[in-house]
Amino acid sequence: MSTDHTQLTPEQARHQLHTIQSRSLRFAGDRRVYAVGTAISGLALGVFMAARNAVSGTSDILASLVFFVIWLGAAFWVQRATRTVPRRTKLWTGLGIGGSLVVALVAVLPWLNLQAQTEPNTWPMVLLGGLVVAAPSLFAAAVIARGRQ
Amino acid sequence: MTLTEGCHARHQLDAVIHAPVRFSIVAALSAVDEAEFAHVRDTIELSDSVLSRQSTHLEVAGYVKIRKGHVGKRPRTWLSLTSAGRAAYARHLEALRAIADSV
Repeated sequence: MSTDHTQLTPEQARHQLHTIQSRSLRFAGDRRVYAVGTAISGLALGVFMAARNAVSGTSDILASLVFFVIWLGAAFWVQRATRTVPRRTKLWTGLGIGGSLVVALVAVLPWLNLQAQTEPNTWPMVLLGGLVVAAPSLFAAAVIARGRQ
Repeated sequence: MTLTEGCHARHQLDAVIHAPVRFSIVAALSAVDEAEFAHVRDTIELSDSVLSRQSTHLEVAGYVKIRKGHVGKRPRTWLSLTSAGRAAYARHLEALRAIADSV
């Protein structure tokens, strides 16, 4: 095919457009990996926050350790398992996990601490808090998973 | 600037992107934020040396960013389109479609 762009015929232009469609990068699998990684990170944060409100002492340290292992493991797994970064995936991952952290620090933890001053937090309250914390990450994971190929 | 003067759509084609191999590279990268060098190579069916040479050409033109890093102990190279590259590709694609639609 000629590379002289001033001599391009309509037929050659159609051929070029057809060629790029048949050779586009496949990244549906990578999109799923990013979605699962984002969901795991959000859920781990929610469970961690709930666990820290429900346990104390050695269990508290153990919960922190498990949380960091899961978080680092998820990040490492995503990096190892993917060959592309689909459009806006990292943006949504950042928004989701960042949103979960903000919700945890600004809303859920202050609420649980305030409640604990009058009576001990119940498991349903703690679990609800964990779910609220995980919600932004789960939403971001859903957006990533539903993205276009 | 790689555009030539004129009103016809063919004058809006980007001379850097127009070369078939570079066009395939830019088209492949347009769908992602970043892609591994080997994945692009396998998808477009190029040799390492050709992809490396053409990627460097696109990098010099300011259309592609080449990032080198490691995953574990393995070195990996990542390619991504710059914002200038995305804009140039969008213009080039628009011109191609205009030419394809003309009789």
